[in-house]
Amino acid sequence: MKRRSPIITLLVGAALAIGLWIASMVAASPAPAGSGSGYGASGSLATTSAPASQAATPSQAAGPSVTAGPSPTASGVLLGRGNFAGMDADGGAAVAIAIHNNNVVAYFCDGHRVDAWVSGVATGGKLELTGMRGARAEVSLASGQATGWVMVNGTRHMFSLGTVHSPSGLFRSVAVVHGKMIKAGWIVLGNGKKIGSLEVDPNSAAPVTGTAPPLNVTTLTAVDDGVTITAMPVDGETGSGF
Amino acid sequence: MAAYSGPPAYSPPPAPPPPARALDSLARVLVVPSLIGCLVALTLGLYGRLHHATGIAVNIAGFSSPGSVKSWLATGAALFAIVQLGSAAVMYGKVPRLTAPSWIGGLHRWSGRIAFLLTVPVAVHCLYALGFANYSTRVLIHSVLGCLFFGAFTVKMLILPKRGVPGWILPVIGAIVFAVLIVIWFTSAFWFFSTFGVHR
Repeated sequence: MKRRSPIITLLVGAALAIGLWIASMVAASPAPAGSGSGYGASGSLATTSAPASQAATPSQAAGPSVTAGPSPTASGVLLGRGNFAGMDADGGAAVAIAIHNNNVVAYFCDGHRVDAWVSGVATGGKLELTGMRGARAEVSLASGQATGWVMVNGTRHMFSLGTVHSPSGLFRSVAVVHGKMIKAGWIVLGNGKKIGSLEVDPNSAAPVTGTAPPLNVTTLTAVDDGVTITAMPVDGETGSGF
Repeated sequence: MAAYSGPPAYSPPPAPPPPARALDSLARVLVVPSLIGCLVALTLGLYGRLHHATGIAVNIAGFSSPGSVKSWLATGAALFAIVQLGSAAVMYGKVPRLTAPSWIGGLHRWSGRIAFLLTVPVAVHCLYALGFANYSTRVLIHSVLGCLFFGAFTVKMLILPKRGVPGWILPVIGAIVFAVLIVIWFTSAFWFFSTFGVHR
């Protein structure tokens, strides 16, 4: 018995791993409604708060634009403009935040089937952002870092992001491809790595989300299903996309 | 349960360079467990690298995010690992003026089992949802050591029941398993708690 117990330990561990692995496969398989939510919280699909299409406030010059010059320091971002991007705490998804004249657009995506657009207004270094399908985020800005969480499909993802500058940052494309509306988002990290997801029928209760086609950051185009779509930077420093 | 009879004859520091025949039998004892351990580490690494990370895995209720669940489980494993180190030191008579009580072997075995089982859900989430990643030094070290940990643990479990293993082998492998786990903890849970604060 004694001689076998280490083997039993290994086998119990392996059995536990296989059980959790199968449970994870079940969790990750798309829900019947096509919501792609595997977190079991897909009951909260009620569309709350502001729609994620952040075409509001195109005013670039309005508002107390106090920039800190080319390198947005903590206070520079705090008072108005800047871009943040990075991976979330799990490293499984990317987060980008663009702030222009205190208007905030943020995007979370895993480059696969989970993504969320949230938006709001910055008040005193604290951001409370909301999006469609119950997505929301809370972020605080300090020392050039944007730290907080975003809640997507009932799961909270923590992150701490550093500042980035063009050509890194957030890109968005809304287009009609083969008669269907699509909304794609790409996050270009400081190291140039690109992560993007694409929602088909983004304003529905349960859009089908998948991997976005590769974005060409020079031409700002991507080819989705044979159709070339154009992306626009969502850039807090220039105001593009706000 | 029989009284604890002490670890397999561990006499002071390893003897001077063993003669060729001893080396030969040592290699025979170690080669199969080591190969299996390598295979385990390699399989985990390749799976993590080739499997398309889903970003999704089973979640545990009551925690704010998968990251915090994993950080707490990993912290639990690290604490039990420290019990492992302490109980091993007592078993090998390395704690002055303390003779090993009869239950120390049981404590060592059960703390090890619990620590190992606590790491399993964390590893499954890492491998299934996130994969083997290298986008920063911390993440690369974590990914490499995460795979090595299960290989090293397998080697230790496979060598444990073998007879004729030199006394210094188990402490060395145990120390490797312990050190790897602690570095994994520093590159994940410690980083998580120090970045986001200690909370559920």
